[in-house]
Order: sequence, then structure tokens, then C-alpha cells
Amino acid sequence: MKKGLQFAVLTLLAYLLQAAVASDLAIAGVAPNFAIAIIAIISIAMGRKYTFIMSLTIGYLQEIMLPALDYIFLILYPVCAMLGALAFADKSERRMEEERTSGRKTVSLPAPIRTMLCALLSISVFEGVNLLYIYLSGITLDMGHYSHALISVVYTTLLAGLLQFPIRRWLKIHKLKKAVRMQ
Amino acid sequence: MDGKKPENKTPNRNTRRWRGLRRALIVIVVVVLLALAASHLFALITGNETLRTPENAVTTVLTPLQTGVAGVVDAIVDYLRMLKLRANLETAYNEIKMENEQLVYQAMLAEELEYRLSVYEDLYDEISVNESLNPLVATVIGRSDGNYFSVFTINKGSNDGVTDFMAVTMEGALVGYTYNVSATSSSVRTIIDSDASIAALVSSTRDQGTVRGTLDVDGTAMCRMYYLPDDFLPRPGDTVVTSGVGMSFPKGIPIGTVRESTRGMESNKSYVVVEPTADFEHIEYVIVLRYQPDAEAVESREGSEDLELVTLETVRPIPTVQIGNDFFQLAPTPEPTEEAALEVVQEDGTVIYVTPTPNAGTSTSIEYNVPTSGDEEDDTVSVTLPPTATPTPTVPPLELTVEDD
Repeated sequence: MKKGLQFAVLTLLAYLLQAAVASDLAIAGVAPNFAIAIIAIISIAMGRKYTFIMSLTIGYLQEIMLPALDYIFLILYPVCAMLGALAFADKSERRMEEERTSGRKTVSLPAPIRTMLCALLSISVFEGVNLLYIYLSGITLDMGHYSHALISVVYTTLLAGLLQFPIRRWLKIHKLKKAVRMQ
Repeated sequence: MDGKKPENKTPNRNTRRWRGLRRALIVIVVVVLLALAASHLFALITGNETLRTPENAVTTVLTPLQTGVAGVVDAIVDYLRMLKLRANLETAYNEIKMENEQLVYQAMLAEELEYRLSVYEDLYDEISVNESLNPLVATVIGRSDGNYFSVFTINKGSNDGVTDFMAVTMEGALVGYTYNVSATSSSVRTIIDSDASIAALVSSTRDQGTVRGTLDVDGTAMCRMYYLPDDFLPRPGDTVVTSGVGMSFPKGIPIGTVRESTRGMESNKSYVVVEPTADFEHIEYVIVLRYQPDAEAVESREGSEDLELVTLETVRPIPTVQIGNDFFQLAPTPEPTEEAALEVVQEDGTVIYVTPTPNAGTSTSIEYNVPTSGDEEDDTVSVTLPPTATPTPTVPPLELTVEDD
């Protein structure tokens, strides 16, 4: 129950940070994507189901509260978040068992690295889709667009790398990981 | 009891129940979210406002929350911006303060340079005016002011041609005279020094006296002029200048102005107070007048036997006209002789002597010896006399006898 409440608070916090704070933290006119960063943290810390719920909620809230484009946030947030989660989230027990029986050796990166990689993948897809949308709208892309996307990707990835530590501590994920390592 | 706690089956059952409940909750949440998303999509596609009811409900709940958060964030951002602005203001204030200090320093430097320039201009003007007095600019490098003495040191000495008792001026007024001259520096005793004594005269009446310094007249450095004639009644404002007597001072250098004119009224007051023209409080640069009077000419003028007057050369020599041997005197006409007169025999047989008639158009030329001081070889001037209008015969000279007394 506590986990559910923490998750709900985090979801609301991610939306509010994205809606109210991100624009004030812009660097060179580029605001970070708090929602993608926190979703990436949740992906590694809590798993794919929570990732989907959070991304869908934030996408929906963004869609109804900040309707920049129709459907785009509602679809894009879950898609980007699930891509990241599929690539870098903890694997299920069944999947791990399959890998053990097949004898495949898999590289398991530390959680902070995977969090940043997950955020990197999600925000890259997000920015890529946005650039593609703009391009298809008839606007010629130039270095300004690319640099804008690049700054957003770097900024959001670094933000996820910073925010993951307090969030994981608050969720007590680090204690859980320590217990797993002790066993 | 082997020390191990008996396994409780209840937690497993509860855990399983919680897991099922959690899964059900997740499914419900997902379904609700999907339903909300679907209603939103259908509302966008169909334009049916009824489908926007859940969306409006979420918006109604979320809007105040978002407004509050945005307000808090805005307040924080404003505060941070204010802090940043304050920091920027402080930085700008410090920069402006530093810039102001630099400007003040530059202004002071400019004022100093401007003052120096004006001083140099005054010195240049003074030097230009007194060029014949062989002026030399010197800088004051040391002062020794006391209650009774006022001397200072300048950076010019005998290497620069400075000798003892040369006049030292500033802004056209006499400051003092040099003494104790070394190779590279000299001491200057000012005219307000108690030990200073300079021959002077009042320019309006030409009455002569001696100016001596006094460092304390009503708390101000002044001079006193002694040895004035008894009938001299000084007037305030009369200019006192050097008389050129005594030391090798040029004549006419302003010393000061007469301040008091009570001398005539007070019989026991044998001096007049002279207020110096020079500003002794601000002496930085002075001019040494390396004037040397012609001492040899003065000595030879007094009773020398072999006095030799040397005429000064003029710019253009004036020729001296001399006729004959006498200076500016005509030579006497030579007496007529019979040989010179023409002998004319008239019809009756008488003989008369007639002076020869000068021919018209011809003239008699007389040469004058003209002495010149130059190197010209020809020192004669030809003067042509006009012909006589009507020639008259000259009577033959009579034989006269003069009896002696």
C-alpha cells in the first residue's frame, strides 16, 4: 500500500515538475523532460508495469492539461517509456530462468547506469518523434533543431542520473538491492 | 522445540492475498487509465462532449493543485531571480565602484597634469620674457621652514652655471637668491627669511631702500623695507622692485607691494611693510636668473687714464661727407689771375679781361673725398654743380694796402 502511495505521489510529482518547474530550469532555452527522467527511474526501480501506468498517466494528464498536439503525448509517453523499460528494466524471473537454462551470458549493468541509459533511450525517441513530426509538417530542420534536441537529450539524461539517488532512497530500493547482494 | 520458530502459514496466505489485491488494483488502474485515454481519444475524434466528462473531472481536480504548485514554483523562481538580481546588482555595484575609483584616480591625475602644464606654461612664458637674463628652471627638492628662516633647496648647481647670489623668481616675482651652491644643488634663501637683505626701490617714487625678510607679521610672512628717505610717504599698493644694486640681480624684478602707509605718521617706525608677490606656500618650480652684470666696464669707467671709447657699430654705416681737408667746410675760391682771364682787345685799342663763359650743357665737376668705415675702395663722391644762370665778367682785382695799427 505504501509503495502504491509512493508511486502515486511520484507520478503526480513528475507531472507537476514537468508542467510547472521544467520551463524555469531551461538551459539555452531548452527545458529538461522531468517526466521522462522520473519514468526512467521508475522503470529501473519498480519495473515495467509501473512504468506503463506512470507513463500513461503522465501522458494523459499532459494531453488534457497541456494540449500542444492531439494524441501526441498520450501515445508518445507510454511508447518511449516502454521502449526504455524493455531494454533496461529488471528482467522477470521467468526471463532470467530462460537465460540461465539456455546458458546465455548476459551483461548486467549497475542500476544507476541502466537508469541513465533508459532515460537516454526514452528521451531520444521522444525528441526523434518530435523532430520527425516537425519535419513532416513541412518545416526544414536545421542545426538549431538538432542542437535543441541534443541539449534536451543530454539534460534529461543527466537529470535522471541525479534524481535517481533520492528517489531510490525514498523508495528504499537501495536497501532491497543490498539484501539481494547479501544473499 | 529445537529453537526454531514454527512456520506460520498465515503470512503466506496474507501475502498471496495482498499480491492478488495488488494485481487487481493495478489492473483496475490500468483499465481506468485506458478508459480515460479512450474517452479522450473518442472525444477528440467524434467531438462528443459527453465523453469529456471524466476528462473535465480530472482537470477540475488537477487544476487547483497545478495552480498551487505553479504559484509556489513561481514564488521560488522569483525569489531566486531576486537573489540573482541582487547578486548581479552587487557585482555591478562593485564593478561601478571600482570603475569610479579608477575614474577618480584618473581625474586626480589629470588635474595634477593640468596643473603641471599650467606651471610649465607659466615657466615657459617667464623664460621667454627673461631670455636675456639666462633663466634656468629648477625644481624644489627640499624645504627648511622655521620660525625665523625660510630656505629651500633646488636641483640645479654649479654644473648648470648657478653661482651664489643669483636671483630666484617664480611667476615673475622675486623669491630669493642662491647661496651655498654645490655641483648639483643650491640653497635658496627666500626674501621673507630674516637673514635676507636685498636692495630695492619703490617703482612709483624711485626711492631706494633695503628689503629684509620677517617671518612673522600678524602671523604672515612679510618683508620690511628699511633705509627709505625721511620724506618718503609710502602709499599702499606701491610696487617694490629690485634696484640692481649690490648683488648680481637684474633691475626691476617685482618683490612685493607696500602694505602699510603709516610710516610718515609714526616717527619711530623706520620701515614700511612690503607684502611679497610670490606665493611662498606653493613653491614647486622656480627660475634661476643666471644674470651677470658686466663688471669690467664698470671698473674701467672710474678715472682710468687710458680710456678708450669704442663706438658701437650701427646696423648700416652712415657716410661722413668731407669736402677738402676740413670737415663740412667749403674750400675758398681761388683768386682770379690774369692767366685765367681772357684778354680781349676792343676797337679803340683798349684791352679788357673777361671771365670765360661757361658753355651751356656742360657742367663743372668737383670731387669730394668721402671717408667711409667700410671696406669700400672708392671713397669719393661726385657732385655735379648746376650751371650759372647769367655769367658776369669779373672785375680785375684791386691793389689794396692795409695799414697796420
